[in-house]
Amino acid sequence: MSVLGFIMRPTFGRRKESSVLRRPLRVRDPVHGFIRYDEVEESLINSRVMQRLRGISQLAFTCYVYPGARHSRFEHSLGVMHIAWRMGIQVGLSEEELSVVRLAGLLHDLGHGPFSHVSDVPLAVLTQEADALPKEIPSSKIHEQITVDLIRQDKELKAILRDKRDAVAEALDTTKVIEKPVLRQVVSGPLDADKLDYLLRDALLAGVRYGVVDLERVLDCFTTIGTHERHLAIRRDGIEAAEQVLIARYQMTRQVYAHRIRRITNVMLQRAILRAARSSRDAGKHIREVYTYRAGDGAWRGKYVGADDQWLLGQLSAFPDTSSVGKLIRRLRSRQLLKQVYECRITELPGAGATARETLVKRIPHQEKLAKRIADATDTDPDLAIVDIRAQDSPLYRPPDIPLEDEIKVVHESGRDERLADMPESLTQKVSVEPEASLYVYIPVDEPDRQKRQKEYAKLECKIHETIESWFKENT
Amino acid sequence: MAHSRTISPSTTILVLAARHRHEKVTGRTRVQKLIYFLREKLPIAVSYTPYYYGPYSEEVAASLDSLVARNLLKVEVEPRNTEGPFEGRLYQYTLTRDGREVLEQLTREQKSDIQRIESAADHILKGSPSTATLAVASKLHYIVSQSRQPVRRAELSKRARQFGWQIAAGETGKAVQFLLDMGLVSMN
Repeated sequence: MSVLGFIMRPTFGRRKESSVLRRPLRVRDPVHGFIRYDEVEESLINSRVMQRLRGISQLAFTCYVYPGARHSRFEHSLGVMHIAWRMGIQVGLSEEELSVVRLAGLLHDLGHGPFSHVSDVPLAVLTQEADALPKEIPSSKIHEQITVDLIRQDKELKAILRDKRDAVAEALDTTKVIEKPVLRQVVSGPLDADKLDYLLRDALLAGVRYGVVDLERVLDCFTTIGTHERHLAIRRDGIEAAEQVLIARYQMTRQVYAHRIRRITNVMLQRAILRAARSSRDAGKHIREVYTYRAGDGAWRGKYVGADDQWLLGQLSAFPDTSSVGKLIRRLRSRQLLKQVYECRITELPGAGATARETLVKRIPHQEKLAKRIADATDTDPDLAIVDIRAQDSPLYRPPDIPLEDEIKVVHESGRDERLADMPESLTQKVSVEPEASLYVYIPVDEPDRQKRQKEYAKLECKIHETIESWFKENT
Repeated sequence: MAHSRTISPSTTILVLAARHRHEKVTGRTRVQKLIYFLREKLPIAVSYTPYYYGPYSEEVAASLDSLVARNLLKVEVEPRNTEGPFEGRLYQYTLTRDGREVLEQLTREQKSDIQRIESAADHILKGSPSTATLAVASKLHYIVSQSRQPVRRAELSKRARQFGWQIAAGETGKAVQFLLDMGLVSMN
């Protein structure tokens, strides 16, 4: 005879109610309906460093493909605060702990540069060139370190956060050990509030359905492992919900985050920033200063906080039309973008042996010389010919997160835990982003007639193919 | 402009593969842990954070994928790992002909770096440590290196739980001996 067991519902209904009552203020949000907050959070939201995030686009020039995707880091930060709170309630965090994860969620993106992840490359390159990168900080994580620096050292934030400052900084500082791992994992982990918000938000505002996840079900499945040192996990009956997040992320990566136009605009803007930074113009010097991270330097932080999307476009637009920076930025602003006229897997590059391929992959000056050769062969302005290689080891050239399945912990009813990636029934082996190893060439093709343009592409593709083949013959 | 001179993880992985029997390294976990220890001796441009199976580097994971995509390593995946307690699926990485060619070129161009990696790798691989030993050793080393004070053996399990790791008392013997042999910890 089977016995119907009673499911003990946790008391989070009452807890949620009391937590809501402590947060009497609210704001409308297209993803979450109402987002609630209290007076301390209101002061943080109104702070200079938070308001700056209104001027930092979440997805840079992705709006050139999906016109609705013009949202900023500001509303995403509110969303992360909200989801972190809901996750915290689900896993039974105390009021004090709930406050920490909310604040960490709210402030987690403070350190982003103009156009968000576009800035990661020039930050890394220019900081390393100046030999200013502290040893323990990976070059791809500079903006995260800036976030922690701001939380610890910005005067306005310090005055508001007071005794919560250290706990919030600790939750976000992945270079240090944390006493309560769950507090970090809620905002920074394989299945965290950050991902859950951006997948939903980016999908909604881009107008695509791929990123839609069953948020209620995912939230319902969160649990923790361990007693004092608690770690975030999902229950065994929740793996389908977790896998849905994986699939959503995969689809969003293919359709939105790795879209060709996003790739092209990112590379155009990064080239403009680096060329500007290396020029002797005043605007170039300002850019160089902002993009050279200086740990512990209050004056530098002040300059960085003054830099958002409009600031950067303003600095770059100060360059004359005839300069390479000027040409790139004018094309960017008017959506007269470079076109992807050639694409080839690294292993199939014509005439290339392994050693020559590797030399090209690793050496930027070689890529620039090849771009110049292609420009000559196709009668293109060399300032506007870009060879883009996506095959490096650097995390700057891949999605910034670890493969989700590598760290999602699943807890069985018995209490045993294992990784999602190790479960034979998991979808993880079927859904993963293939490692990229391709070379792309972008040059301007301004022919307005579509049919003529297609013919032009075909001619250019042949020309570039021959040029690359000759290049490798000479450089073997 | 001065740059800090570092060794790339992909170069390190190619050298490691060449140092193994049949030029094959078995398991992503093994690669992760070998480079974790190599970076104690060499300026390899990677960082490690505590993950499920111990200290883990995104840069190492990315390099492995990239080397496969560039046809410098071949990967074979066994659907079920019978070799040990890690990785539900076992990834085996073998140096390809292209990989060997690139490594030979690197050896000509960066002779002293390659020799340093080879020497450090041979030192670590001397006693043929198993992946299990390397995994436990890397966890213990991570725990000790994150602590500002010496850690007593009896405390190791408790400290490990902070990172979500379970280390049973019986697992530590070989791992501690490995760390002592490598000169990475001392005991008093």
